[in-house]
Amino acid sequence: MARVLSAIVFLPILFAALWIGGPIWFSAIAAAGILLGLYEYYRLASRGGEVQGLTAAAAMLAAFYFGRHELIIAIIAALVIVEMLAQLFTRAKDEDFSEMLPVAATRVFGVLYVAALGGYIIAIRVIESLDNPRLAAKLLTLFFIVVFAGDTGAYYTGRALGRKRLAPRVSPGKTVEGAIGGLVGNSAAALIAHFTFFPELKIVHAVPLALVMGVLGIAGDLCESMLKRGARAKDAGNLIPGHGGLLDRLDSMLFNAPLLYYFYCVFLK
Amino acid sequence: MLKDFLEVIEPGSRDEVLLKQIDFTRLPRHIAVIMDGNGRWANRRFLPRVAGHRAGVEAVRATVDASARLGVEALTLYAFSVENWKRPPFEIEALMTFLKEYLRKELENIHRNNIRFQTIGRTNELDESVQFELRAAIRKTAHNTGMILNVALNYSGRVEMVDAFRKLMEKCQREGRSGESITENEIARHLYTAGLPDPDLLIRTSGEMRVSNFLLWQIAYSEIYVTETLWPDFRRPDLFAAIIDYQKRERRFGGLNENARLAVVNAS
Repeated sequence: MARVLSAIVFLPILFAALWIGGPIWFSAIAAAGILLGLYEYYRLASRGGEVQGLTAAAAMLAAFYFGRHELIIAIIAALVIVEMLAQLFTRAKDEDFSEMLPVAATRVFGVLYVAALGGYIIAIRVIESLDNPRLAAKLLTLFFIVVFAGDTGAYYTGRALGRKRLAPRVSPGKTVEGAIGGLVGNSAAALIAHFTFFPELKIVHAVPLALVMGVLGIAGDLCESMLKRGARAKDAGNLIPGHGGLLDRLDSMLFNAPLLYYFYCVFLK
Repeated sequence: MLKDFLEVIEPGSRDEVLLKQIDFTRLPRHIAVIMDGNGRWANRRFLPRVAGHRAGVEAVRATVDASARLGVEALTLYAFSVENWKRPPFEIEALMTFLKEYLRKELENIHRNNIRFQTIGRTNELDESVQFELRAAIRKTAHNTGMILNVALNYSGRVEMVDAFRKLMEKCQREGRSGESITENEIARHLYTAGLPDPDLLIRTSGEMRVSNFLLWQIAYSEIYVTETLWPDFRRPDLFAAIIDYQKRERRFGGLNENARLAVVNAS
């Protein structure tokens, strides 16, 4: 029930920010979500590095927003150097250096995993097209309804029909039947998008896109579950009532944001 | 022509007031525009620069339409300079995409309005997909007799002169002529703008007082009009204001009076 209530409160805000006004509103919400998700990652990983990591992530999201993609590689370079130096300065007197690489790598990886992938959501929001001034809002509306319909389809199909477990050790609640229900939900959402607000997205593109998004979404979800279990937590945080952590919400989107961005580059540009 | 505005201008609007001040017998034959300020427009709104370029396309539409209606012979727009390659790659890509989209979308309109599309600059260095759209637009409108819409792409005034001098030197060597025989007119004929009248009016938006390597040879006697308006905000009234300002000036071409002007016009 809390799950439904959260959706009722949050979805209208999300879509209003997407369709009303300039790209800054939605981008700000997305950036806040991504940074909080990253903060959860750091708490899960419990290897420190929040300050540098969140700073690098914020810079990266700004680079995505302002279309300065060439700066992203520079931010990664700076972060790698900072984290390596941080190890050098704090561990020089340690007895053993075995934690050096795991700590430095974990800290850098968080920025890559959450901000570099999540930043694509902002990159999609700032897409500009002469022919189609609403293209960015349409793409992201498609993105969210496909993701949410997949999650919802999987949840209810799994509850009603779920027998065969998909990946019992990684995510015991997930079933093959639920996954199929999710893919049906993904495709249905893409079709609804085509027939309502997004006719320029051809069906021959929409359905395969939704299916790939569904599969990537499940994979993203499982990866994040594994990450979490590795860190011995069930939910990454408790920000959204009924939904666990923000990272749990982002997981299926993180893999799909780059996919949708490049789908646009190849098929809609 | 005045009548061409009847359907698009509201009676009593600022457009109409300005339009009435324009002397249609003394229109600039050729208007050149340095379209500056897209980035600043975007910055002021906390938007990505690309959003400024997109908004700038609206100003291009308005300016092309109004110039053609006025009956200006040629409109040259400085769209992309050789120096602009220094911009972030993503921005360059977006600019090129907008150019292609503009051509695809506006070509019918341009053609219907009897506008002839041309380019100046080293367009052969642009992406093949851009060149494809450019060729299509040039070919389709080649026989139109209305305004010439001349777009400067990968353009530099100095590079234009280098290209002209190379061609001219080759020609002189082929014909066994000495440098002595080269005239002003002959140089002008080897520039990208061969066949176009020199710009009478050079408009620069966004308040910068620079020529920025644009039509260096051709603007020798151009009247320069600088407005604080940023390019994405530039619309019909801004163009009218520029023309009215131009018409208030006394053009002397280095001489003293009207007779001197006529002498230069006749000579060229």
